[in-house]
Amino acid sequence: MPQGVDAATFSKALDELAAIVGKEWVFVDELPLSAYRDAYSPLADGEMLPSAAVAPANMEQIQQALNVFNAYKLPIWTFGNGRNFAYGGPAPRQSGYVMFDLKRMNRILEVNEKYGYALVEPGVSYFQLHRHLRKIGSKLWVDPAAPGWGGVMGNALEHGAGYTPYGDHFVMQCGMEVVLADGQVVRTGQGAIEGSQHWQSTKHAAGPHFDGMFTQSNFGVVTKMGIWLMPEPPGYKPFMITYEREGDLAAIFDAVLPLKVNQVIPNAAVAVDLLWEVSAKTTRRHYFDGKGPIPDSIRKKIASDHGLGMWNFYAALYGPPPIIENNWKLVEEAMMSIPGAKLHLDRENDPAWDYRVQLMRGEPNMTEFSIMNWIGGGGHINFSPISAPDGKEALSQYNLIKQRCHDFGFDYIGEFLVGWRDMHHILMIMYDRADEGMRKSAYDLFGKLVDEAASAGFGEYRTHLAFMDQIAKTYKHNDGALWDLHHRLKDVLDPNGILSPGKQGIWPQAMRNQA
Amino acid sequence: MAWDVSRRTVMSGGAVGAAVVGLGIGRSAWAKRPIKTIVIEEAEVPESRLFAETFVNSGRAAKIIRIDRSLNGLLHELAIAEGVLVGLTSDPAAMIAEQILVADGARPLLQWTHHYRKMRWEHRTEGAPALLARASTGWPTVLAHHMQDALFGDRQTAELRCESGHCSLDGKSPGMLVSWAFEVGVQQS
Repeated sequence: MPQGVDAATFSKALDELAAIVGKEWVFVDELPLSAYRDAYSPLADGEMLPSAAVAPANMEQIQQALNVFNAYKLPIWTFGNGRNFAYGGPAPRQSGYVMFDLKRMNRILEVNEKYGYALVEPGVSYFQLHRHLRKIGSKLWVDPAAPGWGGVMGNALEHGAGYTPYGDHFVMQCGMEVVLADGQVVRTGQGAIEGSQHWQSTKHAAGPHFDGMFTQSNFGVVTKMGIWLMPEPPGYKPFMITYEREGDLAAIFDAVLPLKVNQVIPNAAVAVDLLWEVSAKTTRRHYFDGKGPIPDSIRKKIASDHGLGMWNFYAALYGPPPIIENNWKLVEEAMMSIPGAKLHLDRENDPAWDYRVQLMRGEPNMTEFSIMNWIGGGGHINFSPISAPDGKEALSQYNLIKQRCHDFGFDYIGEFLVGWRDMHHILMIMYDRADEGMRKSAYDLFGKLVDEAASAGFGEYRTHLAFMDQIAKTYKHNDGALWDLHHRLKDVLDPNGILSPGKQGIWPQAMRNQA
Repeated sequence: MAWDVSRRTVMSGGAVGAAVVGLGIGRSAWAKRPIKTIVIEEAEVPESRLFAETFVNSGRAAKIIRIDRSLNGLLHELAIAEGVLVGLTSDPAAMIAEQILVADGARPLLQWTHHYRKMRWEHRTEGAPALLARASTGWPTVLAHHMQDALFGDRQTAELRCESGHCSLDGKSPGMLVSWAFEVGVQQS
């Protein structure tokens, strides 16, 4: 039951919601509601469970439903596709919220071949957009997250990343339609001009740029979003370079930074650690059945058996073949100068290579889920600090985090992904969901890493629901002024505090003290 | 309209922890109805292939859906499937299938786990596990028959755990598998 709402009132509110969206789109029974849980939750069973779910079909139904939510002060949790696993999936921030499920709104409203963009609703997945583009004969690519069942809008709103040159999804977002808590509809940028044909072509307009305010937030319900799509290039050259030593990480990023900043390597270049890379091919139990981290001697055997390095660097070149050929010389000279580097331009029967190559050319797939077989029992949460792509800093961060993983009995399984000027470090803390002790250790490890990373000056770019408050508190500058600003905006835009309370540690006034 | 808002005990945990036992279809009705059974085979997983083969050989499988290691087929094929879907798959494939099928209104019928630890398979199932306990590498065949009994014959619903004798693990096996069954698009009487 939503907090502070009695059963009779809740039942009345559900009646009113059913009158808006149709009875068949209001869910209260245990089976349909089970679809809204976090299958990989690091919390004990029974936490973060919804009270009901409501699935509107269009913007008008959203507006009407918001009236009901406001009238009864019902907290809702809004999502598009709900595939945000490792960060909480579709689950609500607290038990009792009503799920505001926008999956029915899954129209691809426009594909513009000339300017290279699409306008989509919240429920559109990468697979759906990819299939649509192929069906209409488009020469545009999507930039899918891995895995590709995620939502185009949801991933961009969560600051997600992909692997083509268009891999920074929020950077590639252009134009939004948002329903505010009071039901008012706002279009951002050029979308505010009546009859504008350029809503998805330029981010700029007169006045403040508001789009970012509706990402990782709870200030409105985004109902349409423009996303830029990459034209299919005339040439594509994916490659992987393996590096023998863990300490090579510093040299890798010192070599890659100028190639990235100058756009010689235009896509999201990624250095994948041995265990992440090999987990698409084998499992831990084939090598080591003991507790605790895998010994170094066994890591070396794994690397040898599978022709891998301690780091495995993926990137690709795109464009006309002469340009690729020319840029390749620069890449080869820089990246192959590290002793022991081995170049791979193809790998037979290697699922990890296959799915990375697909992702870098905009083909969605689900293969990354297979790495959950490494432990078995598939639980995982991602700790994702972000920093500049500096070799020394990357190595120092790696050493700190790897040591903490080992202290808590986990293997380090991670990757570093370099964008334009940023480096996302994704640590996958993997555990068997059926093992309560392991799950609790994963939770404790995550909490410790948040504090230690903050002490070292690193913040996370995205996080699981369970750690949103802790991470919000690490943004301490000027006595937490940034979150104070979030809260001032929240109080003005959503005075009843109905929209996703607690999202990213942003709470409405009435719930702020308890948080 | 009256909403029964007090009876909610939402399932929690994931594929492994989800409490599908007792979700309550009348199993005795299965034997009387011609139900189309679709078997999901995860082609890279040797146990999954053996399980599917047993279903085919016993004449129970109306169709086999083969999923390659991209797992993409789970999204495309399950969306159009109808009948009783069964599989012995890796845990990630089971989780994806559950997400897709439950969101589409499917009803979980059973979900069991099979975990390779310390040179043995540990099976958590329902009903008499004696044969499973005696089976080593051939356990998916025994499981397929056991599942057919559970779905189409008399079912014992006691939750049980058993371990096989010492056996090796196939180099291609994930070592943690989930057997599952869902009913899709079939109206209950």
